[in-house]
Amino acid sequence: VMVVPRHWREREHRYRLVATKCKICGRIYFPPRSVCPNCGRKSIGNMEKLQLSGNGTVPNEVYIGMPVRMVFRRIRQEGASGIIHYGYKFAPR
Amino acid sequence: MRRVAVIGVGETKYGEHWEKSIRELAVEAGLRALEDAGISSEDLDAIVGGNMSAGSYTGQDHIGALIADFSGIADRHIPAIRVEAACGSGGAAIHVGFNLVSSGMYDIVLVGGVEKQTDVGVDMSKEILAGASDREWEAFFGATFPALVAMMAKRYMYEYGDIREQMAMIPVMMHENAMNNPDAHFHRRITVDDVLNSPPIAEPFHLLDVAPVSDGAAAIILAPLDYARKNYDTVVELAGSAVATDYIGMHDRPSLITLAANVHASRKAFRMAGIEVRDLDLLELHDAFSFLPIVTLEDLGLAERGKGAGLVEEGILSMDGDLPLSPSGGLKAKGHPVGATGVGQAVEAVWQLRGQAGKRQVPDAEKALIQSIGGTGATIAINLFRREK
Repeated sequence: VMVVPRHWREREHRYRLVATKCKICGRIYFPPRSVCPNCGRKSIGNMEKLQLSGNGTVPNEVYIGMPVRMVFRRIRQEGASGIIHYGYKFAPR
Repeated sequence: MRRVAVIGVGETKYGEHWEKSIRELAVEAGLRALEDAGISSEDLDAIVGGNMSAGSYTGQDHIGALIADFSGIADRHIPAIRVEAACGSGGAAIHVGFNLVSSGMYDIVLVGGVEKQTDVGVDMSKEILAGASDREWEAFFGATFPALVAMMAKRYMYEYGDIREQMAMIPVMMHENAMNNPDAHFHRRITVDDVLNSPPIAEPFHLLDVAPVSDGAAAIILAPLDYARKNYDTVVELAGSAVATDYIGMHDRPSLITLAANVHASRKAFRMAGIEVRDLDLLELHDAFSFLPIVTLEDLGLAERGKGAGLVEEGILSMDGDLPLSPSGGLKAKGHPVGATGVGQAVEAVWQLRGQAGKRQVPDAEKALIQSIGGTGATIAINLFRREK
């Protein structure tokens, strides 16, 4: 069971693929981070949200170069009458 | 054995943090402590985290590694270990951190504490906290936490007479102190009548006798005393650190009106630090229930048996008294994010001893005691801090 405040806290990355970007070194993090492992303490207050496009390519190790796009889907449900968990999946583009 | 100092402290505000997850709270407190010490997370040799029940409260366990990772130092591969001793987890984590530095094994150790309690409802929270008592022999029969401590208070009153009003003075004092603490959960004055007339929880406790559930995190950074002397102007030593245990179930204890672990842990810590109880300038006690500081004052030797409540009445423990009790606002009003609480007490002690406590500053404070109680007293951690002149 996933508690209600968590659904709310995780809505940006789970529903919209929002990442964070370090303004100092430019690295992009998804899952989002509030501290950049590359820049350490200097990155505090320098991490900005970044909306990812949702478009990408499956790595060669998994399925050679298949182009995909993010889609919004039902991930799972807590029983027949429980909360539905939505999130991202990827479909061929 | 090397002597140990606190070189950095930090905490989040305590309260209801709907917008923050457990990892965000822990990282926020840790970063503040690092900033205070003027060092980076890359300088850490180990992390010890006090936490009672992340798994039950948030579904997330393994928080040692999680917090190291989200502090941005996963690729340094340092040890990061959670310490659990119920509501005494924070104080116990400090003890473990103390030993890591004291033994010479590690130099710079971050001791954190975190609890995220508001993701579950009150009934669930009560159920989780009952895990700090003896699940098979106390909780099974319906004895909630307040009910267990209420039995101690009732026995105390059977021996020494009614202390309802004196107990109520403690939450009143805590709410008064918290008015000057921006990190406190509550900023609201209350009166003795408010406490006595609040809804009953488990006689003799009413709602305002009892600490709230809170979200929050706190962190301190430990280093060898010699390192602190070389690098900082004001040095606060973690001069004594002890943890003692007792029968987990109250039914097995020879007496309900003393906490034996209090006596054992404090004696050991005082001996280690070379500090006498009468030398203390302030206390941060574990007032999860208004009765607990009273029995603790007696266990520490500050009052004779049966006279702890009298000490409260005399005003010695108020901010303008000789020995202020929990200038932070204590568990009652600063808040009680269980695993963070003991570490947050250390944060307050260090601010007080450095003279950085703002409007709630105890003038010229030099020695402080903090106490962390696990369960109904089956674990008690006592940590003593001393500022070098």
